[in-house]
Amino acid sequence: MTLHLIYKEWIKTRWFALVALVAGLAAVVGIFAGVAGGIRSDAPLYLSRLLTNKEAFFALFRFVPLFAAVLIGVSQFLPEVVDKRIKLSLHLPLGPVRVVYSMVLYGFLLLSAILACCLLLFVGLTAVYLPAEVIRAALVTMMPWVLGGMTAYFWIAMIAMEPVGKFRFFYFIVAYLLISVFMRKFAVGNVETLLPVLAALTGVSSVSVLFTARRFNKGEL
Amino acid sequence: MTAKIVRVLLVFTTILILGFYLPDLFRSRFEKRAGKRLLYYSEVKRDFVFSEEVYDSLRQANRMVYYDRSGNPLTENEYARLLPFDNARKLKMLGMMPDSLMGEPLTQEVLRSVRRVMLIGDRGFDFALAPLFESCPGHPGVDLPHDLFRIGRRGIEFIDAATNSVDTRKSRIFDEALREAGFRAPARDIFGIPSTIKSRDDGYFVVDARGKLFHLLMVHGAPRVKAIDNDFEIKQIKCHVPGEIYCHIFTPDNELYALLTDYTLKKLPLGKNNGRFMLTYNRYFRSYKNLGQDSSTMYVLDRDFEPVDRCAIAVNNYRNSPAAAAEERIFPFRIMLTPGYAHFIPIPNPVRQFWPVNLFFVLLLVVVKRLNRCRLTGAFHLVDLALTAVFGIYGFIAVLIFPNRY
Repeated sequence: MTLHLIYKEWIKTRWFALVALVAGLAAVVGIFAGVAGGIRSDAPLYLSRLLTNKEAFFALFRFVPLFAAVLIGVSQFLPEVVDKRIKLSLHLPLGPVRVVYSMVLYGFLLLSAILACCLLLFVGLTAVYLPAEVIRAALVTMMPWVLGGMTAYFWIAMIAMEPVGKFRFFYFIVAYLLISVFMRKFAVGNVETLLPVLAALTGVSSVSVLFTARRFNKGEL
Repeated sequence: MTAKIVRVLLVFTTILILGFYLPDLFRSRFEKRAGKRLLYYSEVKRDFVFSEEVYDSLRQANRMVYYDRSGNPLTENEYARLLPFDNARKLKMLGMMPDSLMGEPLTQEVLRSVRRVMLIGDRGFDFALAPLFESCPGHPGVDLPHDLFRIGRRGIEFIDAATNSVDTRKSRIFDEALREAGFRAPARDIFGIPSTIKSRDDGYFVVDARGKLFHLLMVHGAPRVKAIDNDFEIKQIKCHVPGEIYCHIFTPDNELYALLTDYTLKKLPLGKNNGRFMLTYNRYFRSYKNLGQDSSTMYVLDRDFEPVDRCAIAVNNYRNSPAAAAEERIFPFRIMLTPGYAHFIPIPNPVRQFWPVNLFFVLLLVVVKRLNRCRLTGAFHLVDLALTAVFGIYGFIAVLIFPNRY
């Protein structure tokens, strides 16, 4: 039955996931084009500027995880809550927690797969021109954005499950402020020490849907 | 039960977020620009002089006042005359530039000897990759090399910028030179000025795996390595443009050393500090102004780094303002991100300041819960009250955002 549930999610999200993937890959190719152009025109000058000014040459990737999370989250949960279709799913013999978590886990894995494809392509392409130290620093600096995208996805799921409109609004404010922390323009490489805190916030967000799913299951409160 | 625990985690997350945003929002609304108080060392008077921004209630505007160490008021022009290095252009325009200073004609060259440098003991991120410039290019300035170097476990490696490949021949030559000088790879840190905007290159200062300091240069394409006998641990090095000092070195305890161009290490007679200095030096004195949050302390040294004088002043800043006092009463703590966003730092306020407000919010929460007909003896309602008692306004808002009803 879980496989059927996952197939249902796939039907809902596949085109949106494809759009997110194409947008992400396009951003990575755009970053690579910038690096390749800089290296071809004057490699020492380009690298010197990059090292001295600590330029975020990968800034184009900043909103990719958030964009992908919103596309997947909305395509997955909006149809469920608009018609209250989720109520049918919650009455499946799997149990409400398993149903909700099958959906959330599916969305999370789909989002992770899209972001992993983008990051692998980023590493593969930039490794042609840039030393490992620069790529590592870039990946570290991109990590808060990736975690921010995941956090956004969990909060979309959580907000969608909330049965009361005013609380949805309050959660949206909290989510907006929380995700703003992740989406800052971080100084290159500096953010490594901040990652455990951000990962913990993402971890807490990953279970947040349990709270609203419980409220949803109990009905209007 | 699981949902209730998740709710508590969400409340904690919201408290963290509110602690990050609310105090900033408060400050942006209520913070008034604090009156500046500045401290300078006059080379003319050989004593400290001060400038302060005060509020003139008659004109309803800020104005500057100037005075000396004894509190005697100075006019703006008198003050400028006492600081010829800082006010050279103004004094020349007014025809008030002193002819000589300390028995020496105050020429353009002497006036140009002034330098201002920020010395910060904390380290930011560094790529550990840098271009090694030719130190004797045969012309003023420096040329950008076609490669970068790193010093990893395999020793020094030069990476060609265009092909991203290691130049094994050059790497081997430099690696042998480093080994001969006693260097042990990998490098812990590499310090230098990787920019071409300098009149001459003084190479890099590299800390090896054992914490020993080495000076690495490239002279006529060949390596030149000098081992420096440092008997202290190195936290940070601030290199300078060519002059008589190569660099300033911070130890983990923020003791400060100056490395002269003859490789003499001078421990500077500076007191306990926070590792943030504004260094100003000219032909006669070096002044190290330690910039604290509440105070500013200036240590004046002579050209041989011997102490001349020191002076500390309280800085009129936001912390002494009525808005800051109100902030301490309303918010139990605030969370700030360090510059560069490397760390979240919680800054607690004194409990004696905020406990009445926290108590008020606890009572308000009891009233709200009673109005909602909640059973206050329930374990998670008590958790809500405890969170509000500890986190005050943040806890109050957070527990109301996430309803304790299922």
